[in-house]
Amino acid sequence: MTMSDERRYRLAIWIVIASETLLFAGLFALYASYRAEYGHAFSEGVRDDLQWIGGTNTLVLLTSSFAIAWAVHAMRAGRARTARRCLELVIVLGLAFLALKLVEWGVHVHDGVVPGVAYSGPDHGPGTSLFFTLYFAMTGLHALHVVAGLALVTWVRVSQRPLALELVALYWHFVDAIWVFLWPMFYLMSSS
Amino acid sequence: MTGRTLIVTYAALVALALTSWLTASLGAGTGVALAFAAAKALAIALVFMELARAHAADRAIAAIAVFFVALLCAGALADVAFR
Repeated sequence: MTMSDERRYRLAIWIVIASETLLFAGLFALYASYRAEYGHAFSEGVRDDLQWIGGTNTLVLLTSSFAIAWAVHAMRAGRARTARRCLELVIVLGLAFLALKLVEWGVHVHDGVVPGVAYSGPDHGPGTSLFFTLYFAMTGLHALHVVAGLALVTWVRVSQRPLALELVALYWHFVDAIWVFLWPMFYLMSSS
Repeated sequence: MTGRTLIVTYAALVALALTSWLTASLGAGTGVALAFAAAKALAIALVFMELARAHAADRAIAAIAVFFVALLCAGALADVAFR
């Protein structure tokens, strides 16, 4: 049995996505474990994050996912110009997401909310600095994925290869799906 | 996927996001927030990532990855619960 090049590439991107999922899985498990142990500090830590930035960034990424899905839809229909405009919108939204993230990190660092032993922010008891260490580790790792995704989206915008667009779109949706879970973990779950 | 399906899915995702934001501000528990997240992720996977009509091998890879995430998180929680 032989596979077409397209089938091979599609299988490859799903393996990449599964591997990346398992990379985040370790951090999700750490979060679950520490939240179960330090519930109060984690609930209070959520309140210290900037809610409007978390919510706005969620809407930004969901919109970017829709835009890249529409780019694929348009490319399949032979509307290359629409696909290019959609990809440009994805790039703008991705940059907006990163800009808002940088603003939030800046506010935290200014307030002494930094990862590890240098933490000097609000004290909510044992586990407070752990919460923010995980916050920086997980949102930082996610932001690196956004940067990688933006580089790939820019490449397909320039190269205009239909199959590459479909594969990069899958990766971008994965990055969006990860954020869908990070949002409640660090911005919404203020109740135990 | 048709354009109409994509638009309806996007509208549903935004509605789910706004509802989870609202319920969290009203003091809903972690289970509610995670249920909304799972619903959004499922919509993204099935419609935007086209898993609903993907090759069986692609669906199997995605399902196994999600299963291992759940297994790892359950193991971590069990460790704390039975310590």
